[in-house]
Amino acid sequence: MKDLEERLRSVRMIEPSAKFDYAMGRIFAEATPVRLPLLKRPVALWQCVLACAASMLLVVAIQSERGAPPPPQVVTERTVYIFGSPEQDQRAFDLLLNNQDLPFADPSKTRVIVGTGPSEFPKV
Amino acid sequence: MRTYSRTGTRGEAIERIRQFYEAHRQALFAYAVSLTYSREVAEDVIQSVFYRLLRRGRVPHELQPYVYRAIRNAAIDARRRALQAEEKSSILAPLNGTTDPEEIARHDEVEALLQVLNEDERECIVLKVYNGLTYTEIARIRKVSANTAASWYRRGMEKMQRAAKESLP
Repeated sequence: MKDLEERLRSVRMIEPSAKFDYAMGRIFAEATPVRLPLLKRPVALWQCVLACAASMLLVVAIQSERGAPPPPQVVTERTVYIFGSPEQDQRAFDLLLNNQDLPFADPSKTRVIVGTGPSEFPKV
Repeated sequence: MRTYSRTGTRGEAIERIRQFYEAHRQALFAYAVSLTYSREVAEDVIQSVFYRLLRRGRVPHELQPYVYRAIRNAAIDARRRALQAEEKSSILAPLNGTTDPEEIARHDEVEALLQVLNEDERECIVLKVYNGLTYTEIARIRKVSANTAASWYRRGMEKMQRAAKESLP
């Protein structure tokens, strides 16, 4: 039987035609996916939507991480030190209290200490 | 049930199919000719099988038996359609201008021996002798037991041996 197998194998088998090889080459070439550059690859719609949603969530997360802005400072009490001659002190005091533009114009919220120099100021 | 390998990209799958095709090109073609008796029909069959396989973009779990089975099914369909074909193609290469009498005699002898086989025997012998498949692989393609494939082969070889002895002067 081996001898017969050898005899069968001794004859060349039929070869496909050149036209067939060309057609097969085209079939494989058409099936091979073309690798586009990264920036030219098409993006699926669901990927776009997902990216937008992720960006929005990120922005919200960063804003909440920063926290609310601090409330504006409320002036409860101010101390004004005035030193110099008693007449000047009185004028300065009147000027301060009568000037509505200054923040310590409200007498109920302003404590005025009058003296001649820093040695008279109370230690806090 | 058909199973497919799900690993790898489409490009990798196509490359694997291409490598398989290039390694088995001639054997697949001879097998298709042995089933269709026509080189043109065999070419169409192989093209359509690989076209469909590449369009799927996945490698079947067992590529070799899958391709052989697909070729067989497509060849049987094509043969039914082209039943009226008058000229039958041989699986052997034509003697294009060969003048060597020994080569011509050998070619004609093998051609005559293959004619004594029935379809199952012929197919089994082509797959085993020319394509180098095992009985188990042939059995997988034909969906029969390995013993059946072996008995087709043995019966076919015995027929050819008898025919060879009878043809001796």
